[in-house]
Amino acid sequence: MKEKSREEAQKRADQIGHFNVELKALEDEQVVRLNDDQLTSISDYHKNLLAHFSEKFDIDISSGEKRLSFGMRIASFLGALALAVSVFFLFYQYWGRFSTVFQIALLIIAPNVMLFATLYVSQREKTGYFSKLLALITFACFVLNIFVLGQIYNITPSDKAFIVWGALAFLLAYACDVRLLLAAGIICIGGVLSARVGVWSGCYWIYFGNRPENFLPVAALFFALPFVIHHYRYTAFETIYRVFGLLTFFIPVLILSYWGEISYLYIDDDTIEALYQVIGFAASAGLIAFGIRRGLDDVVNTANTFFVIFLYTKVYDWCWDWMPKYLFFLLVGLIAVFMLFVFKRIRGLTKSSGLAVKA
Amino acid sequence: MNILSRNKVLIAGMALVLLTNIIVIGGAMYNRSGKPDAVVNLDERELYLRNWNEKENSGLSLGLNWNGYYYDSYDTRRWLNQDKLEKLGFDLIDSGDDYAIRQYVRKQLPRAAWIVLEFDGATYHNALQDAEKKYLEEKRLLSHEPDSEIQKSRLKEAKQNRDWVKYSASRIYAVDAGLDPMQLRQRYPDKSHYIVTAGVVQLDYDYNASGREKVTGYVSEISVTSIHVPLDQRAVFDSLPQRDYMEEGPYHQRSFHPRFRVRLAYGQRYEPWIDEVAAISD
Repeated sequence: MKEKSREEAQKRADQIGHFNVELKALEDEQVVRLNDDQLTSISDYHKNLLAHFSEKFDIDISSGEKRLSFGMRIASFLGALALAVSVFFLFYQYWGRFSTVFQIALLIIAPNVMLFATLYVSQREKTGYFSKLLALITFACFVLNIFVLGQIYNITPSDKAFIVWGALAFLLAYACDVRLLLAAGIICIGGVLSARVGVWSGCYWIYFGNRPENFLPVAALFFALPFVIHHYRYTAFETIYRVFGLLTFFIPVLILSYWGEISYLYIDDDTIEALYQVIGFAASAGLIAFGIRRGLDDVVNTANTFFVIFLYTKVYDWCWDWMPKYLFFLLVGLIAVFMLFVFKRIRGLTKSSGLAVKA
Repeated sequence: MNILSRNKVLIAGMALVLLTNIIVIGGAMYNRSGKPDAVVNLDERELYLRNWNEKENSGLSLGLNWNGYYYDSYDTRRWLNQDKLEKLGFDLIDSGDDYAIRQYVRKQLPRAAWIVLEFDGATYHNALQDAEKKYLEEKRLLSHEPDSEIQKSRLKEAKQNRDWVKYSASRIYAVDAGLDPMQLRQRYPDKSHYIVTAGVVQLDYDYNASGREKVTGYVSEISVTSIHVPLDQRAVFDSLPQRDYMEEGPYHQRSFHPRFRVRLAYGQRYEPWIDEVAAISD
């Protein structure tokens, strides 16, 4: 059995379900008929496989289980967010009544206890709903810990706090397979790297967001990372890296394409905006092609979304003021129809060239 | 569902948490070790009560009220000149083209710098003198036109401003900036009137100036303006009745009498802490 993660096991279980439905259809249409020995052999193998997956990963075998699991995932996500926020409010509600020593002891003990609880629960629970919830609370406790220490000792704000917050988020994300914490880690480390780029160019770190170009090296790093380090054992980690990489690229480019004055470039604002508009269109089109070629639906979908955003913002820019509204919306509709034709054509080309696009 | 080994994660996680705490607390202890870099006796004029009796936050902190550029009647630009800005790392343009200068100013982001804050020094006394002069001038003008409503109103405003500066406004002004805190301390050795602390300097464009002087600068922020009040120093503040005062002027001037005095110390890392608190009796 090559399946090493819950996601891979779930995929295989779904594949077995589809296989059984298709086999039944083929038999009904009298295309093929397996003999009893073959059927028994396949059925026994699948039963054992599903029993093993169920035992090891607690996967969903029926559609009812799947629906329930989806609900549990939402409940776990919302619960984790709410509990993480409540940790902050709980502490601030009472901290003024405690001595400094007690405050600090509480701040240090809380993340350690929660870390222990997370790992303890993760050993005993196959689905990971509760351990993921606890992992997020551990992260919240650590953020609170360092943030409040800064307040207690009146420490000058520093971007270095994001390094340790990011490190713990990554550790917990990889230990417990938590996508939300991977995103938190990417945001923390992405933030601190962008801030460093800003500091190297001379600004005080808090103002790094004032130059969107500071995010571009980080975008390249996160986008390239899953191509260098594979994450087969983790649920959708590669997708998260790629999507965050694309967001940290496209959002700054989109901002710069309409607000050239905040660029590092010492050229005319209109030229800067035109330059980033070209970059935006070229990059989104190029990444759609790249995503299709590599079979990466997350890249195709994200690049596609931004291509449409670039296109429509440009149409708005050019036409909204002078064009009658009926004509403007007609143009928007026609562009949508045109894009449908383009995508249909691309779909046809990928089909004929045998490239598989999952989207 | 644990992918990494539980023990390794536990050890790594705990080590990260503990090490970070040791570094942060160790840094704070170092700041408070030895002889403080500055010790200033401030009162409610310079330190106002923040998040006091808030429903969701039982903590208490004091806000450092310094005369930021909005309220700086003795303009920072007088000392934050071209030479100083260049020394702080700003790349200044030498051009006669106003558009080019404006674009240059816009492109340069705020920079970190060490700021010297003067407490109850020449800058404050100059501001007080200016306010006093203005008040006397308006008084003199009213004596020439005793029935003028406009003049009466101007005198009232000038008196309000004088009283505000004299009794209630902050006496802290930013007076210098540099990249080396020790050099600044050598230049301002009086530790009871001059604080060296971290802050931010920003470029500005002065429409009224001419040529190269159009590029000016100002201190846009002081990095630590919120000072935590520990439980053992809260008693004085907890005993005070709530006051709905406006902490900053001159546009919301409302004179008040300070009710507490705080000895504020700045340490080895130029970060503050409350050394002593005392109530001011009426």
